[in-house]
Amino acid sequence: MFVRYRAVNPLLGVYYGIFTAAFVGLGIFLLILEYMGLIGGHLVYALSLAAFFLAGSIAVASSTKVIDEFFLSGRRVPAGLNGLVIFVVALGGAGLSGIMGAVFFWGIDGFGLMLGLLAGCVLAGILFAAFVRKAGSNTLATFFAIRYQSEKIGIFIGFFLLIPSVFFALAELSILKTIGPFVFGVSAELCLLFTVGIVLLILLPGGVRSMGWAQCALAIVVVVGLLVPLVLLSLKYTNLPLAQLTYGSLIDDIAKFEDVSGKDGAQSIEGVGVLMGGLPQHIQHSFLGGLRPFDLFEKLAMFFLVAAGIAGMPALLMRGGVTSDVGQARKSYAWGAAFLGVIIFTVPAYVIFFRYLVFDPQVTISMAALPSWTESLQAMGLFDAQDVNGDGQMAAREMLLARDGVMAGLPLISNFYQILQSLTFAALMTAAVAGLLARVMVLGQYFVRDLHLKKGSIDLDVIDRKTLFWSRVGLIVISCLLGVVASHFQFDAFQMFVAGLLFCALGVFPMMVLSLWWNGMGRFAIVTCLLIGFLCSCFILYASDFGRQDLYLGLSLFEAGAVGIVLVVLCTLLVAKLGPSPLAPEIEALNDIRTPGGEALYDRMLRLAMPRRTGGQS
Amino acid sequence: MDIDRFHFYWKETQWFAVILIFVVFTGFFIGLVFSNWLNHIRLFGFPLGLLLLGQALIVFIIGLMFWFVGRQSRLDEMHGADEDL
Repeated sequence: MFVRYRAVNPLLGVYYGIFTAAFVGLGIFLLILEYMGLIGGHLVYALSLAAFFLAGSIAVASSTKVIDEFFLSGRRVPAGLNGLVIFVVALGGAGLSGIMGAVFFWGIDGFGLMLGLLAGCVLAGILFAAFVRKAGSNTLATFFAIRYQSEKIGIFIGFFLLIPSVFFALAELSILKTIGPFVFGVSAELCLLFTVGIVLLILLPGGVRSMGWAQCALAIVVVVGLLVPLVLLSLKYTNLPLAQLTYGSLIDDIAKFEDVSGKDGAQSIEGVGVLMGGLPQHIQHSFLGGLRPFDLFEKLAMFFLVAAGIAGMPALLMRGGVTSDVGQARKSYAWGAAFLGVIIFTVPAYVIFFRYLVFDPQVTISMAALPSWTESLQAMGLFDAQDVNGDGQMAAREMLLARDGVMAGLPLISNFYQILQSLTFAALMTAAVAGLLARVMVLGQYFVRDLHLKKGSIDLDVIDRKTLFWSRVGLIVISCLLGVVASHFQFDAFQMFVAGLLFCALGVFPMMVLSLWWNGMGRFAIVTCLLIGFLCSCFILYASDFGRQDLYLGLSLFEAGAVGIVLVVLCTLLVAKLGPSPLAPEIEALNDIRTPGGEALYDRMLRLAMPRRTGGQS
Repeated sequence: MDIDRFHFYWKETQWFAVILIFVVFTGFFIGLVFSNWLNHIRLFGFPLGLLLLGQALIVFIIGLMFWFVGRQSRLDEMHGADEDL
């Protein structure tokens, strides 16, 4: 029999407490050194490096040679820590900087994007988590192979699922390529090389196991890096440390500032285009939406598309398979939603404080002597200024800020110690690396595990050096390929992130919902659903130039995507009605997946294919 | 788990999921649609739309999610569909 569901290490919480204490302690130590003038320049950014070093140490400490641990993390990840991983994978660096930008440029109208992340996590928890865990698979390809009792179907679907993962990976690499050179003072290429090195350091020792434990540490850095500068700002401006509850007192001031500084700004791109491309844009929209009310359909479509995209994200769905049971899988997504909630609580506060400092009309800035924060952002290509009225002063209306400049900008404009700036950069970069790790693992698992490890050729509870060797080679090849592509081509992080979401929302989400919740979904219908969804996504991306322009009938990418989801579902239902009915083994597998109790189907499949260990008996 | 019991269990699970998703999405839609209008009303210094969308709704959804986990586990147990490892 397979030995499963080993006890969870009760000291895990202590270990992560030690990690957090070590990280914060190092931050305080560097702060003292900076205060004493003993360090400066790029050395203060050692904190970012330390985050990666500590996460890498955790990964090396969780190395494994057992197949079960390498691919499934031993199926004993507690719900709380799995929730941390779910939160950081759903967000990623591109998502974090994207929601910051959306809320900054669109104000309350940008909440659709942010709340879509939360709704996606909730949808995945309610609709998919239990079934993915019961199937026992750690890739969506294996999941569909089990659901349709056909390895060919699994491999075919798995191939298409590589597309969104590549987009997501390139989005994260793009964030690191933008921020990394400024933080570490090296070239973009060297920064990408360093990123690939970190990814391999974390993935190679223990696969999913080392990745998961390292991602927990990286998620803690994300939360600390966002909260600490905000607490200090809140203390400075409101005398209370809870920025999330005190930013309301600044809203009236901001509305007055916007009246003085923002309304007669130079015209710039409107609608979703302002976030696409990553180039600096004028700030036109007031925070409470008084200047140009965002189109209601656009807002709802954005929310719906992001929710469906997050719920259908392969890297996120696979976290359901590493828990000890179905209940823990559901609880993982609840924890993921809770951690995302902390960030969603925090983002408006972050943006309000940034707007407060940017729009403050009492601060006059001479164009001849721009402050250091603008120079730092300019060095990253995230800021520009135009003296529209020729008065030699830079008002808020004359500033051009890029989407990614919002998150990077707050600690810079606040004139914090560089260590605190470093903390925010560390949060953004660790979120990007955590997201990248999950995507590289999804790609690696498809090429190594799904394509080559057929049932009967894999035994989970043994040390299989050959399988591990080829898995590691696969991860090295994929990481290097992604690094080479990212260094040779210029991508916009948010465009890549939205492209990935579009494929997940139109391609994966309808497939998952219909194949699990509707009995009439046969093989023919699922393949049709996949093809229609991916073709629709390609068409929308091509026709909208990756979101830069509207499609036909004035539909934006988000609106077209939301309409596309409905069309894909309707077409699939029609095909399923007209096409062949599901086969008896498919119905049987579906009913098995829907029953939470009993052995995971993947384990059963492997056990029955291994007569040498069990005598072929259940 | 016999087939009759399974069908009864599955029907309840389906209804539970549908109602829950309806509640979640209705909450989000109401928040997104009426937030600009609600911002004219102030509560604790916050515009009401912002307070609802940026805080109250999030706490409600997270609470609902944890309630769902407990309720669904009880449902599994009640129908004998829970873990049997």
